[in-house]
Amino acid sequence: MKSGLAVGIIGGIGMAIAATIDMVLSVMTGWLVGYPSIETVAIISLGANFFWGIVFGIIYARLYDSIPSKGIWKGLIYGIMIYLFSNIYLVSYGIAYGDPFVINWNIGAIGGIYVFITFGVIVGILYKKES
Amino acid sequence: MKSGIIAGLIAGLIGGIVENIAFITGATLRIWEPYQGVISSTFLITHLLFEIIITGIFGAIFGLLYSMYYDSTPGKGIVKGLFFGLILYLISNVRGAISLAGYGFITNAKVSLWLGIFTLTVYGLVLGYLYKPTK
Repeated sequence: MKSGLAVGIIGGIGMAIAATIDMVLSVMTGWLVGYPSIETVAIISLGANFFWGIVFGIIYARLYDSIPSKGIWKGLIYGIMIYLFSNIYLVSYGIAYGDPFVINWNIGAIGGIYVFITFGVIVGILYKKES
Repeated sequence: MKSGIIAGLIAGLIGGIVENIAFITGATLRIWEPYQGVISSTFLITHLLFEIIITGIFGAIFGLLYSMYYDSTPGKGIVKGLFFGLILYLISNVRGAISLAGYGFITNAKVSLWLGIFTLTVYGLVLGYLYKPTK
């Protein structure tokens, strides 16, 4: 597949499913506190992660040559990099400023790792740059 | 400066100081309710110092990535750094804030948007100014 947009759409679907499973399970088990209903969490998680999957897919195609390694590993490295940017960095806010819901930020950080692994594997397998 | 890590570390430490100023300003202006109710001297020493250190560490990591993706980042010099900082803002703070607001955590969303724009704009500008790639 040679389109970053198309890869992003498929990667976004995978990311949305992985993130929604994580969020719904975390709310159901009581790990996440102060969240709205499971249905609302699922809808927001699906929509937001699908959208950002498309954005990340387009960026992946642009950065492709600069990312180390090949194939799946290239996708995985990219996924971990995005995870570092988007989840881990944000968690530092919640900790530094004494957010009483800091546990939510931490769970988001932990759950994010396999969401971005899923995304990285999908784009790593699917995307082939035009030669 | 030819090391992305060192340039990023310095930019991150400066960004962390700016972030603290933005946090105190935002809390004072009541843009959101401070998590702790009041900003005490203990809070300033522990939390704000912690955030400067954390931002410095992340700054060094992001600086390394900036040096790796230097050629792929649009613009030149300071503008290139600014673009990189704003991309970071988009995929970390804006992305996080949209989800947080959707889940009803409006305070967290406001904090994320407010702090990120000052921190990462300054971070990007300093990084763009300091980092010069080896030819």
